[in-house]
Amino acid sequence: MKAKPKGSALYVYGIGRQDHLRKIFDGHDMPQGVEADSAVALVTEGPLAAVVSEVPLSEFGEGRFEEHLKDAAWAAERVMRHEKVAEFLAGKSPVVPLRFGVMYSTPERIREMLTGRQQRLSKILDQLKDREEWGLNICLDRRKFHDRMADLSPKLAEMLKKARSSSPGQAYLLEKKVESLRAAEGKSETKRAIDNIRSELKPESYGLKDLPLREIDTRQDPAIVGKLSFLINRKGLKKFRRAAEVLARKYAGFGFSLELTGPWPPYNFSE
Amino acid sequence: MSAKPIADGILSDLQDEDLTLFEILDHVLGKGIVIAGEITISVANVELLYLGVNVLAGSVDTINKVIAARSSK
Repeated sequence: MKAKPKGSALYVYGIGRQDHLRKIFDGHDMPQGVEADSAVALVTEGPLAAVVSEVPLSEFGEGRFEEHLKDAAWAAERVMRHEKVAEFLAGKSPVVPLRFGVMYSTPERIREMLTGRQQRLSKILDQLKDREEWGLNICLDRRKFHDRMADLSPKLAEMLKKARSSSPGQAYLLEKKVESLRAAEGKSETKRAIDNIRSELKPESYGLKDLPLREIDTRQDPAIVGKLSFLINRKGLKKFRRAAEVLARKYAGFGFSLELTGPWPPYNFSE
Repeated sequence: MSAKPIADGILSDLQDEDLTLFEILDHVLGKGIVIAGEITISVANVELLYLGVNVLAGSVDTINKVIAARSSK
């Protein structure tokens, strides 16, 4: 890559082995970069290479980029283009995908980074060989769960029975107790289900991460109550799916459902 | 951007077109490797972006345009 023209920075998508990435670049039409119609290119150093594209400082420079991020449509479109490049690469060769929004001023600075981190990056790339990231969302239909809670909690079943056979005055008080017990038991049963799903699927994977829940996840119906990400060997995917299907059936009656997403570039397994 | 109804007991696969913008944001803005470029996006800005996309989710036209950026060349 030649020295950058004035007024631009280099946006970085991911890092891989130079020989692998060269083959991809030679053999395919590459997707465009984060800026529409911008071309992706390689910055190489030793055995490694970074996949980059030029971005104008007028849009991505310090201050300017932050301003743009407030415009969700502008940002989301570029997030999608970033994801497309990362998916394209990760589907063909082990790649350490960078998160959205990492830029360097010159190719030299990227080479310095590649040199400084060569050992670490090479080790991660070795671990990612033939593996991909899959997400598992654990969703919960709260109404269904609410109705089935008594089957899960003997304590709750006992209290409900008592409430039904007591006088109207007593029943009112007991019902209040039932509701608070239902909420507490519901929380611990949800946690137990997620823990069980996690421990059943972990042996089918090479890595497991809990992803943070966001407010929007819990507001959906059914709500997302757990988000897990797994690193899976491509050959082991069938077995992983079967194990996930068994769990989906096991918990369906209680209002849980499982969603599988992927393959993702291994964003969560590149540390 | 609401979740699709899911059949009981069936592990559902979310295909490209079903993946919500949030799913993608979760990964693209997630942990990743900590390589600090000279310009990076701050945690505060990540939150800001989520809030913005949350608002965006109401506009079907905009969302379609955004999703198209991933599926088209």
